[in-house]
Amino acid sequence: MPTENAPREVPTENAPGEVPAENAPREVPTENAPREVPAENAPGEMPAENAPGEMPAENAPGEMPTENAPGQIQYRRCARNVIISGGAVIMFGLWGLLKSVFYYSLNRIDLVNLLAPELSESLRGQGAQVYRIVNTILFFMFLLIVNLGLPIRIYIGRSAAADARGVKKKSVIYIVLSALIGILLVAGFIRSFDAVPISDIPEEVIRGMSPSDVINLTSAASCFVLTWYAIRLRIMRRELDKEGRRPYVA
Amino acid sequence: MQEDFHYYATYCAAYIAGFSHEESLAICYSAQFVDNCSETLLEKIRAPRDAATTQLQLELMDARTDLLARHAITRIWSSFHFLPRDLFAPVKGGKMYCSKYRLICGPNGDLLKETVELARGKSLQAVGIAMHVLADTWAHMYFAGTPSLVINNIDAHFFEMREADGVPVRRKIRFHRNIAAGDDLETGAMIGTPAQMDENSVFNLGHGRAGHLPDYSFARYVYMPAWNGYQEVFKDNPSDYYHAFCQMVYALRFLRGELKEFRTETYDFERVQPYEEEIRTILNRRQPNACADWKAFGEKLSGETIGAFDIEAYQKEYKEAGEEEKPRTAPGMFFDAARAQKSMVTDRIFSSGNLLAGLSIRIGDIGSLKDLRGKKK
Repeated sequence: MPTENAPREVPTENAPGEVPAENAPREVPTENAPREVPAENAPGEMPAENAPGEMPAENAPGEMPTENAPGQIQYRRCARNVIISGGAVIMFGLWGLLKSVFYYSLNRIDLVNLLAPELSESLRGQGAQVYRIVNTILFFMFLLIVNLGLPIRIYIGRSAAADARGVKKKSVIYIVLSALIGILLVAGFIRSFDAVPISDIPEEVIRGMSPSDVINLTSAASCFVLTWYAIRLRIMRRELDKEGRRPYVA
Repeated sequence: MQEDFHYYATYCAAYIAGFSHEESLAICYSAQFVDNCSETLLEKIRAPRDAATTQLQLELMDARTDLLARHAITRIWSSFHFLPRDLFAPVKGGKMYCSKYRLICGPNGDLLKETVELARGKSLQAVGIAMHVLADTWAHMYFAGTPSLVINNIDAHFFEMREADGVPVRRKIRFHRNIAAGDDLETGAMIGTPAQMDENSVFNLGHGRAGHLPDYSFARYVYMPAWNGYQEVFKDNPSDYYHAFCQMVYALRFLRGELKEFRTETYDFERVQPYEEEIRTILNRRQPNACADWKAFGEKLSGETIGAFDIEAYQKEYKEAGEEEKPRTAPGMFFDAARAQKSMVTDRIFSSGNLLAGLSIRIGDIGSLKDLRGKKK
């Protein structure tokens, strides 16, 4: 092999540590011996322009396309809260629907007898099937009336999500409706203690609170949370839009 | 990363660092073999199962869901594919959350330095394993090698950064589960593992939720991981892969004995500079597999032919070798190096007070049975 291409001797200060025999590298055929290393990269030296800590300018990280200014992070957090609480408003509405169905089914309520007892006898005379059909129709009407709030809740939840994502410019109606529903739920809870003397209310609240009350209060809380964050979102959006820095929200 | 980088690009890096064609082939074969050395393969060739460096999808599906199985999963994936960046990262939260947060993978950590130094003076197979681990610290940044919903999950806030008329635009990426359909690079419909709300589900391991995107060298994307406080992270794969390549060249020169020490945050840009344009062109080309490009580049570098990766290349040699000769075969040396790497990483994780990889005992430190009681470093 030409001497100028012979493997270079590795200086002793850079010699690898002793390698156990069973881990020794395989012998490399002489015709494939390591190529000569250019002089400017001699062992032990790191070229000055690549000394640790330096990075050539063309390899330095460029401007990050992320939206991580403090206002943008808070906006995203707020938008997420609006989306999640909007979802909670819908879920509580669906729970109300489910509760009505369970109440009717498990109590085997005869709606015809309850709402129009004078018709009950005449309808029974026309046959069990007719009676069942009328009962079913009354059941769906009952569901519709008792759950009038559900379409409103669905509107609130969907509007919240669309508003948070900036998909469509949404009016403040959904925010007002959300606050109203929350107020009505709390008012309904307070109303249930009408007949209780004021001094007994704290004890009565603890003793008399049912799971349904807990869910209603939680539902009210989700409405208030949505209202709060939706208002904050609008304020932040106005400020960020002035600077052209409104971040993406998925 | 996938075969294009682990096999062909590693070959190129090794050759540029000064290894011969044969040595470079041995290194790149081992680097790629880390993605293939599963327990199934080891059982087939009657090799020690604790040398496994990966787990197949079917093995993960069959894995138990108890604590010991999670330890086994974490050991493999954290040791070879998601090397933790900082085992002592400052973080607030409960112990479990902090432990998982500290397993997040990233480049230039202390464990990377130990990984490269562990391979010094060892076989070419050990060098290959170290290069695989090094390369994956760049590709798999921000994910952890342990099943964790909070660390590894991604949600609808996932955008690819593209350019339209020179202006950077965000294009939403939608993940689906139709493996037959594959990744559609034009429409942004990518495969990802299904959302699982169980914190320790195996679907939440590594970058499964983000599909193959971290392994595409051309991909630039932005997303919002749950652990980052509503801040976005930007992953610039072309830049990261180039840094990985240059760091590999530097590490390989160290492992050859040319350099005295290996330092993190150091890259051999000068040695790679003559090939920079070509490498960046390959990295930026929008294709799911860049094997052909890297192969052509490698063959141009060395003037030799680079054979395709053959998983069965050394299996016969290993199976037919006697018990005393097995450790000296290429697979034997690979298995030894793999076990050393796994032991080192597991020990460091355990020593940091993190129990996600299970217990670790330093055999050399044991003098008597008393030493086994409550010994912790």
